[in-house]
Amino acid sequence: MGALEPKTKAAIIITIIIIGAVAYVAGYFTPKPGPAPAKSLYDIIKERGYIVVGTSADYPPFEYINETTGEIVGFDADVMNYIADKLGVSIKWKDIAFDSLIPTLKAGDIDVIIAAMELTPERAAELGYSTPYYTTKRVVVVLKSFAQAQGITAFESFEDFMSFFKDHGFKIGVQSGTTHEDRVMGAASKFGFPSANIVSYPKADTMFMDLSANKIQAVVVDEATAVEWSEQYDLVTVYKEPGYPLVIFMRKGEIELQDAINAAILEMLAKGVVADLAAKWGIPPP
Amino acid sequence: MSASEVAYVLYLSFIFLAKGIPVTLAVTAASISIGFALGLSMAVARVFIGFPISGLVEAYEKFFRGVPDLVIIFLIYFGLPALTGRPIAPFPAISLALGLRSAAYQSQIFRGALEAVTRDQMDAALSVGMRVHQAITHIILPQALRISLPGWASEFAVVIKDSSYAFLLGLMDLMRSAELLRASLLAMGLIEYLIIPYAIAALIYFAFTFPISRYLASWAVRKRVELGL
Repeated sequence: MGALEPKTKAAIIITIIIIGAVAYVAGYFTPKPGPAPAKSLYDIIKERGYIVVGTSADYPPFEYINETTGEIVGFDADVMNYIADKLGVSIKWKDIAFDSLIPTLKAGDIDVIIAAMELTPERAAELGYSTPYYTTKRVVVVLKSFAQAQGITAFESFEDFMSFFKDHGFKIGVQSGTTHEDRVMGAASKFGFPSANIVSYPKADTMFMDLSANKIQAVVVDEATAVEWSEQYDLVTVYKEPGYPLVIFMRKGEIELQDAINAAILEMLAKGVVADLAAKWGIPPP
Repeated sequence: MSASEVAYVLYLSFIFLAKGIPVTLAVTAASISIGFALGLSMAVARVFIGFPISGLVEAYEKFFRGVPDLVIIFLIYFGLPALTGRPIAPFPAISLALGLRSAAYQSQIFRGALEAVTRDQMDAALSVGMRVHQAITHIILPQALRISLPGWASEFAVVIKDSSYAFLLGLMDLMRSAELLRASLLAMGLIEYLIIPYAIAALIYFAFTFPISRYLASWAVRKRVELGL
């Protein structure tokens, strides 16, 4: 093709630069960054009259969307409603994929997270958090028929369970990205449990389907999930241990907000509200 | 499994998924537009300016064609704020990521089309006294864009499908609404129906992509034949 005149060449280059700049600027249609340090987030929330709460509404009975009202409901939603009531503000819910919750909180798009999220050492190091409002238990569940066939009633320890499964070449199912997966992987590497016999599932439903089809012989989950699925399948719990506590997360250094939320949670625990809510949503008592 | 239950689940599917469709379309529109503007400029620059722009464009294409979509999305959503110190919202992040990726492919499509318009046409245009930029905008581009349409249509369909990554950043698109419906079905104990939200989402995606690849592309080929291109 013919060579371009310098003027035309310059015009094309400038056009490219402008398009590049537009694309760059497009990346900056962002919500206002975090609050000015002069005013605490607590004051800002009180002033605007609502708190922005992030959750991942795909985890019943903790949080999910009510099919008729379209609202976010569940155990966590009720806990948050109580806290917001105490703060004297309303709630603006934001549904966000679970893995994006913490980056979104850090970016300042949401004020707090309530999403059945466990307080792990890693999260404790990078975020502010409330006092625990609920503690899940980690359970090992198997099919009742399997327990009878193997003569299992209960295991003494998690290690007992792992070594029994290792000896028999049985498979264990876990949900990927959960603390239960970390627990099983950690124990497995200590024991030389074959990693091929640990199956990670993105969703609980396919995991329990495989359990009932005997493709895996045990599932390690939180107790609330196990209770939920006991309605569908004939399950029996063969081991139980405390899991991490569930807390509400906020950015580091929001002391006033943290204190206000803690006060509300302690009141709920003292008045037995949490136990009532647990019963309402069919999860084990705290 | 009863007929009334199936009807109810289908009814819910449309209620939930209808909310996701505008978001999916908005992400697609933003991404394809960014990809078009950037891709066309890069193709024109690569063909008509040459060194050193062509090298830069080639490097850009190689990079964005060689990196998985998901990595580009995470690089922008998590990486850009770390670089600039300013957070980026999910919508611009996903649109920019898919747009930048699409630009690499669209640039290739347009470059092929530009090169398919013969050199003689440029010479002819110059010989009747047109400037180079006039020849490009009045002679070369109108033909090249028509030639590129079939390839561009399939790239459009790819962008529609890729928009489903938006759910990873928490945007309420088709995928995310299917996910939320599954959770609601689970809460209602309608476990036999958990596959339905994904199945309906698949049908909706297909309903968007099929006409584009089937009709837009074949129309463009017909048009090309008619015009003798």
